[in-house]
Amino acid sequence: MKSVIYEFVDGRGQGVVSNWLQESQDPDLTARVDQKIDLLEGNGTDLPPGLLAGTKHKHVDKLRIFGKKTAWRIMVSKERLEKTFAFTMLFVAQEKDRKLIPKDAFDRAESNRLELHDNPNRRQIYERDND
Amino acid sequence: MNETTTRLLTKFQNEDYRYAYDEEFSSARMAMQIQAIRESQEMTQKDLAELAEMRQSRISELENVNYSMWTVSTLRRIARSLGVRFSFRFESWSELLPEIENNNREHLVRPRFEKDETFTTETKVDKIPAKASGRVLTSPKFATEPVIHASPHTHTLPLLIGVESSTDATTVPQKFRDAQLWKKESDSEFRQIPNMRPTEAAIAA
Repeated sequence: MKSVIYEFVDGRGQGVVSNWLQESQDPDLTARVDQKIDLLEGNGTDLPPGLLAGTKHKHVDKLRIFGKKTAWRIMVSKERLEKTFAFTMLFVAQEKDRKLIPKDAFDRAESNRLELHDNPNRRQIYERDND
Repeated sequence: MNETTTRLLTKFQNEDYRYAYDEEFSSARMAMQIQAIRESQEMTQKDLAELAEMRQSRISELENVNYSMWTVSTLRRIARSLGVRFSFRFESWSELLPEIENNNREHLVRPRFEKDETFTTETKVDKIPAKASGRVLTSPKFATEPVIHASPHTHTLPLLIGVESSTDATTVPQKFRDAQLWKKESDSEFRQIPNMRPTEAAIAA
C-alpha cells in the first residue's frame, strides 16, 4: 500500500518542495528527489534502511539527497496510518561541510510541523507534474 | 501500468533526468536487495560480514539506500557469500520500468544455489536401473563399488556418483560424458539428478 506524501505550504501559498525544484530548473536534482520520494511512497511501513535519518527533533526526520554538486536535506514528519504512513515534507535545507544552511533548518521544520497542528490546511498533497 | 511508470514515461524523455533517476534507483535497489536476500536466509549482518570477510559496519553501509560507491569486486564477494550470482550488463530503458514497479522485498529475493530449483529437482528411482548397473565410474580408474564424489566447494551439495553404462575401458572419455549423476539417499536408494552429466573435472575431483 502506498504512503501519502504531503508538502508544507509556505506563507506565499507555495509548496516548499515543488517551489524549490521549480526554481532550481535542474532535471538531475528533480530526478534524485523523485526517486527518493518514490521509495518513501512505495514501501509502506517497511522503509528501506537509511532512507530517513533522525534529527534533534523527535518527530522530524531528514531525507538525504545528493545532487551533483550539492547535498540537500528534506525535513519530513511521518504519521502512522493503518498499513502505511503519511509523510509531510516540511522544509528544505542545504548541507555543506556537515552544516545546514540555514543553520536553524531543524527548528524551522519543527515549527512548520507544529503549525500544522493548528492549521492543517498548511499542507497539500505533493504532486509531481509530467512536464 | 502504475502511476509511477506513467509519470516516468514522460519524465524519462529528459536525458539528464533519466540517468540521474537510474543512478539513484540502481544504488538503492542494490542496497535493498542485499538486505532482502540476507534476511531471506535468516542471516544477520554479522553472519554475512564473516562470510564475506568484511566488518559488520561495512555490511550496514552497503545496505543503506544512500550508498553509491559500489565496486564490482565487493559485489562479487557479497554475491558469493549469499550464494547468488552477480550480473552486470547494459540494458534498454524499457527494462527499467518493470523493475521500478516491482521494487519490493518479494521481487528482490533470490535463492541460494543450493535452494535453486533448477539445480535441485530430482527424479526419485527405487534403484539404479539395469542399464546403469554395470561398473561404477571412479576417477581416474574404475571401481566395482559406487564412488561418491563430494563437491570440492561445499559439503551441502548432492553427493554424486558416476555410473558407467559399458565395461569397455577403451572408450573412457565418451563414457564420462554418458554417465548419469546420482544422489545417494541410502545404501539401497538413489535419486537421479536429471539433465546433468559429470564433467571430467567433476569425476576427477
